[in-house]
Amino acid sequence: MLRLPPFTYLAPRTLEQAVGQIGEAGPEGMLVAGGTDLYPNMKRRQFEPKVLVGLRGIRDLGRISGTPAQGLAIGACATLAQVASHPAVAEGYRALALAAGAVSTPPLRNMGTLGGNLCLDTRCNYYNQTYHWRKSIGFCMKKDGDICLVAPGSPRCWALSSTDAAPAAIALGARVRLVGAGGERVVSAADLYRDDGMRYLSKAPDEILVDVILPPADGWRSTYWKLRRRGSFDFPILGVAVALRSGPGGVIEDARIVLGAVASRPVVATRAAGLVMGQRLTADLIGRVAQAASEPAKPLDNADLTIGYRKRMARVYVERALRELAGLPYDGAPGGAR
Amino acid sequence: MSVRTLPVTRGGIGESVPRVDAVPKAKGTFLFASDLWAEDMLWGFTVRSPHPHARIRSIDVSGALAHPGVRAVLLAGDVPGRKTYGLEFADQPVLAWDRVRYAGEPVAIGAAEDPETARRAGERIVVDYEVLPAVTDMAQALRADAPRVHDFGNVLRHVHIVHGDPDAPADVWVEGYYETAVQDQAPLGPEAGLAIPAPDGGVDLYVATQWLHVDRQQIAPCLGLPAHKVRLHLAGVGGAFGAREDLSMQIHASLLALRTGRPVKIAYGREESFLGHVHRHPARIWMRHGARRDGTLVCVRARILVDGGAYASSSAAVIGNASTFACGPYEVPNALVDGTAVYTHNPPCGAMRGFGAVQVCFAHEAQMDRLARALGRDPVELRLRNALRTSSVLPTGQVVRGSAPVAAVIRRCAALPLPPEAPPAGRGDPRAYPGGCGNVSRGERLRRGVGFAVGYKNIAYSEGFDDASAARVRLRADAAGPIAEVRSAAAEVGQGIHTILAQIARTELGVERVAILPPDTGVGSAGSTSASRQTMMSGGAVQAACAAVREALFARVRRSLARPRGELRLAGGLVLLDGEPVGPIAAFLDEPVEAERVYHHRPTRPLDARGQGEPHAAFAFAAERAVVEVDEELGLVRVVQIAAAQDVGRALHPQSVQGQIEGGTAQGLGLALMEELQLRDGRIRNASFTDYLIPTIADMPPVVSALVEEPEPGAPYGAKGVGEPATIVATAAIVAALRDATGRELNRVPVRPDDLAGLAPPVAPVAPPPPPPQGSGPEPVPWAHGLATGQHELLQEPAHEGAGEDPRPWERTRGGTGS
Amino acid sequence: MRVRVRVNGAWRTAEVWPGASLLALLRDALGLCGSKNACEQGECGSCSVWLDGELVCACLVLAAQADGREVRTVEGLTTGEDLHPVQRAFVEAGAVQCGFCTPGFVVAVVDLLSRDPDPDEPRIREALSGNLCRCTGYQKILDAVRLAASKLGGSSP
Repeated sequence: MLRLPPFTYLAPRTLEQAVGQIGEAGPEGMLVAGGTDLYPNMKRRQFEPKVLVGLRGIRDLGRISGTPAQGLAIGACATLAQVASHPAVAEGYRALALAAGAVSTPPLRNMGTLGGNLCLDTRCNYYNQTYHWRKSIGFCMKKDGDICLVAPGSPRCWALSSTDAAPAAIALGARVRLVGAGGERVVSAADLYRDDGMRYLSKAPDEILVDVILPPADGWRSTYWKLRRRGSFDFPILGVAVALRSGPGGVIEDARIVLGAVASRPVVATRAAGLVMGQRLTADLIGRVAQAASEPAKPLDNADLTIGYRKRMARVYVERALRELAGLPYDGAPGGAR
Repeated sequence: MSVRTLPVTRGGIGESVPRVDAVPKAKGTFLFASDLWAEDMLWGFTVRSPHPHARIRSIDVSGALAHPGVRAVLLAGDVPGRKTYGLEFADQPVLAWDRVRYAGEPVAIGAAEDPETARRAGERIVVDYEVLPAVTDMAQALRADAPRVHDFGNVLRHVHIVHGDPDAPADVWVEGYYETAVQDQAPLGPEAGLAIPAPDGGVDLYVATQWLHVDRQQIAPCLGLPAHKVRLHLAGVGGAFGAREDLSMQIHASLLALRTGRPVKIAYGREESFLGHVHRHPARIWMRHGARRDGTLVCVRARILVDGGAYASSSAAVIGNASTFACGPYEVPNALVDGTAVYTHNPPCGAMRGFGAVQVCFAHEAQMDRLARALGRDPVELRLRNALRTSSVLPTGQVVRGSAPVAAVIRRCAALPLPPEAPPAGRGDPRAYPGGCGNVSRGERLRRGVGFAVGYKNIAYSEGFDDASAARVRLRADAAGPIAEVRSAAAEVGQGIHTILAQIARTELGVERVAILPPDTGVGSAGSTSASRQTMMSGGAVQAACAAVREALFARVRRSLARPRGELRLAGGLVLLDGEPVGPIAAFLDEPVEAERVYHHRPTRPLDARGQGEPHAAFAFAAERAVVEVDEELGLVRVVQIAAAQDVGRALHPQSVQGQIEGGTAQGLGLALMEELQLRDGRIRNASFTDYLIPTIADMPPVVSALVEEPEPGAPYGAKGVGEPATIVATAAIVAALRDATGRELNRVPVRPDDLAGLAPPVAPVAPPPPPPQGSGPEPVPWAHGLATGQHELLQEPAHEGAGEDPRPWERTRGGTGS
Repeated sequence: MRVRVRVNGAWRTAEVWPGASLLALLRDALGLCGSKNACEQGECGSCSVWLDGELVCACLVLAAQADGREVRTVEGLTTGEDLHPVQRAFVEAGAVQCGFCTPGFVVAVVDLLSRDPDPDEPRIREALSGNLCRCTGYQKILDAVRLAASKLGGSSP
């Protein structure tokens, strides 16, 4: 039976209290919001904090304020369901609404928060196992062991970034506000992540992700495509977020393409995005951009399905996402009869 | 003048009455095994092997016993009776003593005051293992140099069937190789039970199981107790599908309760559930089909290998089924079938819905499509041309005596309306494209395909097993009128047997109030809720017991009548003489009337050395047509519609029959597209609902079903079991549709997106088909080593049911009752 | 630790250990076994309850997190012998087989119909995509939702 390890649960009412409590708890402390990822992990002993600081009781952290014209601030504790259904998010930041709405299942989206999904632990099929299972094969370096079981000679951990929200947030140019004992800082969403399956966040453990700041949405269009096997539940096999700002005549003035679930951090396809700058989207250009975007994707054998498949799908999905934003007709036989 | 209407009994057979347990289940008040609680109860736990094969050097339990709140820790040496158990053969240790043979095998058990203490105590038990080489590949298990799983070797059973001339010439031959993965039953309710020590030194065990009596048959010898001191009671069962045929926590909880003198509950979590029950056998199948130019089948040659894992469970019967059904529901004049079940150091495999027929159906239906292509014929027409019918001879020499409306099933299925075409890409609801509710597709690169499959399997137990079910019926009256009490040990696992038994009692006794008494071992065995057998077997027993009650009541009625001649009947709560009411039934029930009867199906005969015999009692057939859409670039699938036609004999509860078809189809869809228990080096890698994927509501298409009702002679009301056929054909039909959509070979299930996107070639056999093992006859190998037990003994050992009860109730009526 | 939770309208107090989930509180401390424990990690929906009106999986809520809050379970849908219209629809449509998933589904359907009294089929499938059923193939569950929606006539349940 899966059971949580013992810990002390603190429920601060203000951000200041929370900062104080997590600082005081030190390395024994962890932050929790919705708990939909942390609690299963704790039940499998991926984490054994002595103190949990729960953030859901801090009223201000759930707020969504602003407009697409001015920019939006989304409290880290806004639930994924709220983000997915919020009119301003849907209007100006569609990729984020789609990503939030594609996480897991309806009850888990009611519980899980935007901040929690952005900070989602990296995943690996040698790591997301019970304590007994991990013990039976010898632990991996991400928890309790000292080697990587996916790439045994590797000095680093290759667990996969599996957040849906992060690629969307990065593509939308979001910044995140972090508050800790030393004050607050604002970093770009892209800079929140490190290319390391173990230390995958640049956020210090005692820093609290307070809100996600989205720039004005004028001229931007965005989308998020999630690949998974079933119609719900599953973590992404691949996530692709694309945001484009076009000028007169459909010329692309700015573009961001971000891939999720292909590495330990969301992968920003800078070179691919560069190919569309100043261009009009054509089927041919899209094909080249998709090829370029998929190049940095280097999946390892630590998730569902084969490496070759996951690599190939990166190209397919970037292509489809771009076609969607370009308003190009859908490829393939309408209706599909054959 | 008013027209007299004949009294009718509402809620009888043929009506889709509300299930007897639906209201408490919908309210959440129905108690499942995992909900049980007793005053002063302890929580049991199990320590399991992390290794697929190891020698146990030592076990140190001192740390656990020193932990406050721990009340007992037991090892193999603490088992007072027989050290091994098993459904068919007692080859499985209650607790491993010298060796562990699979990862997950129980090594120690204990009981503690609360679940948290139990968890911690389990972690304080230190087992020192010497890891040994393991054989985890079914083909390698047959090699002479493979590690031996048991002293007598790795062959569990070999079935050899020779029919006609297997060298008969044919105009066209097609050949294929097929693999099926390990599937898990994944019932939502985890294994659980509560054992309560009794003042007589025995134990009362409340447990979710499929067959109370066979559980007891295995438990009592291990406890060193006579059967009558081990009383089993059915707790609420959260689905079964074969997973509860073998024992899980039953002996363990009983041992702990007897040792501590306190009630002990064991409830598995999800991971432990995956470790604690058997799975569907993975199979490797080579097939060759020969036919005449006109499409008539001439010969089928099949080589089947299934991995039984570390212990026998029901593997012997599963390979028996896989071998006898390998040729499909077709007339095949010449056949050579060799089926082998092997032992390996993988987790044990055993019963799962479809029981050996699923794997071969996937293969023989792919072969029929290949043949149709090779001959340039329509696949449905080809199946019709070769369809079995009553009086056909099977490859075992068995003549099909019962109903066999195969052609009707095929025609009805093919005639069901097709779904509308998909909307143009980008126009449909994104939720209706492959990949489901996420933003995963807009209908790009969509290819539609249609596939068809036919299959069949046996109803009830086979190969000479004396399959029987007992039931007791008591008709009495209270202030509210007459009421029939039905006492049967048939396990209600969700399929609806209790409702069926109530319907039969209403129909037979003309009363509307029926009480289904809680199933326990205080009444004779009902046999297993397996093999689609309970409607026929326990339905037959209740029908026969009701008939006996009715006759006794009629004798009373005749004694009270001035003119006792004429036809008596019961309906609508009344006794009728030649159609005229003579009074309410209750008026004749000053004393209750009670009868117990046992139903046996038509005897079967085991296979001989050439696989000839009369192994099966009755057959049920099904056909399904699948319409799928494949995103050929992503390899994602949306099953658009399943059309199903099933041979049900007679539908006693049409809504439940449809429910079985729909639910069975879902499990077949799971095996076709996503369900695979992944093993690496003998260890399960995905023992959770995060990683073992079962279909969600977003993945299931509408199922349109047609019930083909051609009564089975000799079966109660002509009804056949309905639980399994849809599962058997669904996988084959869906993969046939995927082949149609993509043109790819797809010879392994589950089909992965990689396969559909063309990124993985068809699986090829790593070696040629292994030759039949030397020296084994048709009998299972453990049998020859004196390990036969469990259900084989059940009907041979006199059962003592306590004072005032017939010690052998099943002896009272033999040969069944007919309808 | 001591927690106080308003469960189905009544304040209940229980002593639980710090790692206890809301599901353990309901089942083991308060004897409310209608919420089932099939996976204990939010992957099946069998323990669906409302926490302050939001549909959640009780296995992923700490008992401590529920302190001072409002919890509604399947047992709170009706009193005595009554059936909620959604429960009635499940019974009539044949949407109940083994029944282990049923309370979670009933709660999820009541939640759906309270937000969207007349959902179309894709909407129903999406809303129930967090609940696993192994017996029915979901078809009769979809029938039950449509039946309940028609009986409720668009009025909030």
